[in-house]
Amino acid sequence: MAVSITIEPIVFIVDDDEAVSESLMWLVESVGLKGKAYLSADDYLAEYNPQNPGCLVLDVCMAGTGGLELLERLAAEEEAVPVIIMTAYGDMATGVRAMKGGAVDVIPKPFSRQGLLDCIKKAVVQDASNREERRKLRAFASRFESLTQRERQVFEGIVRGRHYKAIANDLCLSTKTVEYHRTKVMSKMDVDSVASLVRIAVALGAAQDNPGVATR
Amino acid sequence: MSSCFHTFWAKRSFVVGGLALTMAVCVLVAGWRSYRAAEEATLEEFNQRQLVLAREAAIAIELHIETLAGHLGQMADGLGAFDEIGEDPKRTLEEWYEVLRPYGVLAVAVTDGGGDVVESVPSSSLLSEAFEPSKGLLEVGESFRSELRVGVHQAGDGGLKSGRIMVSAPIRREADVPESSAGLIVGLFRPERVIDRLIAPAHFYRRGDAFLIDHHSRVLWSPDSSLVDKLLSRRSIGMDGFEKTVMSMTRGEAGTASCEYFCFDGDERTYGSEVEEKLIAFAPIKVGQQLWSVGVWSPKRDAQRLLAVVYRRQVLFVLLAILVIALGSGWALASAAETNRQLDMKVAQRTRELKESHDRLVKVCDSVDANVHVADMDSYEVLFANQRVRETCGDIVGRRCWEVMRTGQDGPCDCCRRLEGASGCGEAMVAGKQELYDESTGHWYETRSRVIEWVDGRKVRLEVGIDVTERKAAEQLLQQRQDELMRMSRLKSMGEMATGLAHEINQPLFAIGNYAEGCLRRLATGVVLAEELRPIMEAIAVAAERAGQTIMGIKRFVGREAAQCRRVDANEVVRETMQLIGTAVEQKKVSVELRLAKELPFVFGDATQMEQVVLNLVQNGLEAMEGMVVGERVLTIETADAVGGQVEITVQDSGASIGENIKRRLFEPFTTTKQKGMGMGLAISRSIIEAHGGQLVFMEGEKMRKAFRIRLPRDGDGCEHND
Repeated sequence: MAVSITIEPIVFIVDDDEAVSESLMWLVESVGLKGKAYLSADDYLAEYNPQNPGCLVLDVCMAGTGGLELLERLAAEEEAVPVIIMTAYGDMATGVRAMKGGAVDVIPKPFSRQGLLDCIKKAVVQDASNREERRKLRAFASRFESLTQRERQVFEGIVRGRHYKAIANDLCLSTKTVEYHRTKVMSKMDVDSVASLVRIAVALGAAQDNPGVATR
Repeated sequence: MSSCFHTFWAKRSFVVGGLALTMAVCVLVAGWRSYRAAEEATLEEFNQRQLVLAREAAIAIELHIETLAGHLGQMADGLGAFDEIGEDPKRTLEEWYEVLRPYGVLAVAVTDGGGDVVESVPSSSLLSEAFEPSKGLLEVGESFRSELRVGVHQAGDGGLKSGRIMVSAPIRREADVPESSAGLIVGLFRPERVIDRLIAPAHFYRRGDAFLIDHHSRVLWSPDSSLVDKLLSRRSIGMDGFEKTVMSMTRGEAGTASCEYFCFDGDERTYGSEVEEKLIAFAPIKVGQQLWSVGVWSPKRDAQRLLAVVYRRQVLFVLLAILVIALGSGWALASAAETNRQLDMKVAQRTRELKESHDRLVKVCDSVDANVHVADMDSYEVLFANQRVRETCGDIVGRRCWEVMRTGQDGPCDCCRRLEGASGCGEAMVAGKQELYDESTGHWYETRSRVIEWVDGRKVRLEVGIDVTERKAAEQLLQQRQDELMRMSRLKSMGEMATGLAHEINQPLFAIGNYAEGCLRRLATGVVLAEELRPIMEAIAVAAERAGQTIMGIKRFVGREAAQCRRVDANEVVRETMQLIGTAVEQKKVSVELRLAKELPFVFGDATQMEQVVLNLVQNGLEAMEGMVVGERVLTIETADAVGGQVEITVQDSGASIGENIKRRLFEPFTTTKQKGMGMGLAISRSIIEAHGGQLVFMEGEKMRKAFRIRLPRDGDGCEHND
């Protein structure tokens, strides 16, 4: 956790128009963020590191690998940064596709610089919180992994809101044994209330149901 | 083929006619000769028959006289035995007379030694006669007693008009004294009796007659009573032929002859003036020591009558032959005439057809909506002109073409001179095409000339002039329309490119904005170095320049400026175009390969128009590759310095090939494969390139890729396109 805090967020800019990408970097740096410009999606992918926090400002219209393709590629990545898509004016179809593809924002050109900067800041913050969420989730998951088979069954029963007796009945255990397992689970999962346990269970369940997508 | 056949028949009619004529002449000649021969033969036969008749008569007369003499001799012997005549001579004579009468004996007499008649039966008929030895038949002076005599009794009276033949026999006595005679017994008979009996029954020709002459040429009997008692040889009646015949007869010859003889009229007893031709046959008669002759004569007409039968047969034969010939030749001539008639009909039909054909041709030539005339190559004399030419120029046949058809010319047209030169080089057929403006009528004509061989074999020029005034006007209108369309097309292209262009302009503006905003924020915080700002300002300037250039390009492209012809670098045209359409190329993810030749010669023309063409081709290429996998979308633009002083710009795409039916009318207006396209792009492009004196062609490029090639002359032959 200490590591993630020390890494400075970077605003990645991908636009095949050098003037645009350079000027954007110039703009981003003026608000104290670190910027890095790429002239093509392939350049960006070559240097891609999931550990780098920040956000990606992506132009859709590019020769070679297009913006939307890159977006799709990044959607598959667990640790990808939020993506802000720049579209040509009035290109609604591309905007919709970008939003469906998981872009955090679609801003049509031309746009106000302030709006863009706000978007970037928001995205950077969101990326940081996303990373924190994911880190926590990973912790829950590792704790869940430490549960024995019987403990997991008891965990499931508790989360589903069943009474101890009902759980004992289902598992052909004594109530006492169930009680014991509950205590173990609570201890292993590092929670002090059933409510917290249910919350973790929901988060895990969501992550398991839809593993690749970061929660917004 | 059929004409040969008919000619043959036509000739044959003459041949047949000639043959028939020759045959008829031959038949006539042969008939004539045959007639002559038959005539001769007939006369010969006639003569021979008369000769036979004459001989028979001669023999009969000889026998008759011999017989008579025999009887008389027996009578004389009988009388001499009695010694005395006077015993009863009368009774004896009467008995013998009865015996001799059937022989034609007229009278029987007995003379004494002196020749005086002693007794005669019938009585008194000869009593006054004296048969003297010196007279009559006794004149020869031979022995009176011993010989049988035959003579002619010339006594004229007693009703005896013609000569009588007298046969006498001496009466011998016992003591015969040579010089003395007991007398004679004489018998007289008429020669005609003999002839009537011996000749007439045998003589089957009606008019044939016999005459008898003695050795003195004395006529003893004749049907022509004028001849009787005449001495024919001395008392000639003036006919040579007859005299000769009589001479021959007197000489005791036999034969035939033909002679002329004046007709004797028995009633008038005179000779007429009419000469009759007679055929005479004669034969000698030996009577004792004398030579008589018998002649049989007939008028030649009898022979000719006989001949008539032969003649009729001959004529019949000749007529039959001629009839056959006439029928044959008639048939042949009729068939020939039929053939001729058919030939005539055919000729008439052909003539009619020819005339109809000619009329049709003239009709077509007159009705055709063009000026057609034919003129001699050397003299320029107009040989033929159709209705339209005659209407506009009058009757110009026979006059020189350039005088009547081209105003204000003092010699033949250039095209004719060229044709002359060409035909002089031995080229058979040369065609020429020309457009002419007729100032007098204000019409445009498109004339096409061609050297043809005229009907008489000489080389002539056929000129067909079509009034193309309307077409010209339509062409002008079309040109205007096309110019308008071109502008429309450019505007349309502009519309299509609007999004891309907006992007193209926005990009630098966006960048400028970004730079400026960045600068402002830095300035606001106060931590900014001048050195840090310099490259940023430079970048702003570059971006601004770029935006300006884009806008200039659009203005040039859309603006309806007149063609500005100047030296243009084809490479520059390509580069400019790619700058205009760069965004679209990127959007469509097409990789562009530029193969621009180094040191390309300039072409002459309007750069904007050329850019428009290249742009159109590139756009087509981009659209053609839309359905392809991204990596395979390759557009190649190549420039080259081609042979023949041409500069080539080739735009090639890797899109799917186009169908054959589209390929054929690729450059026609409104041909398109696009859903929204108007199909004007290539048509306009081609018209632009052609206005620059170049060509725009479609070709299959490398690996069967589609390619459009623009060929422009190094130094365009003027820039005719004025829009």
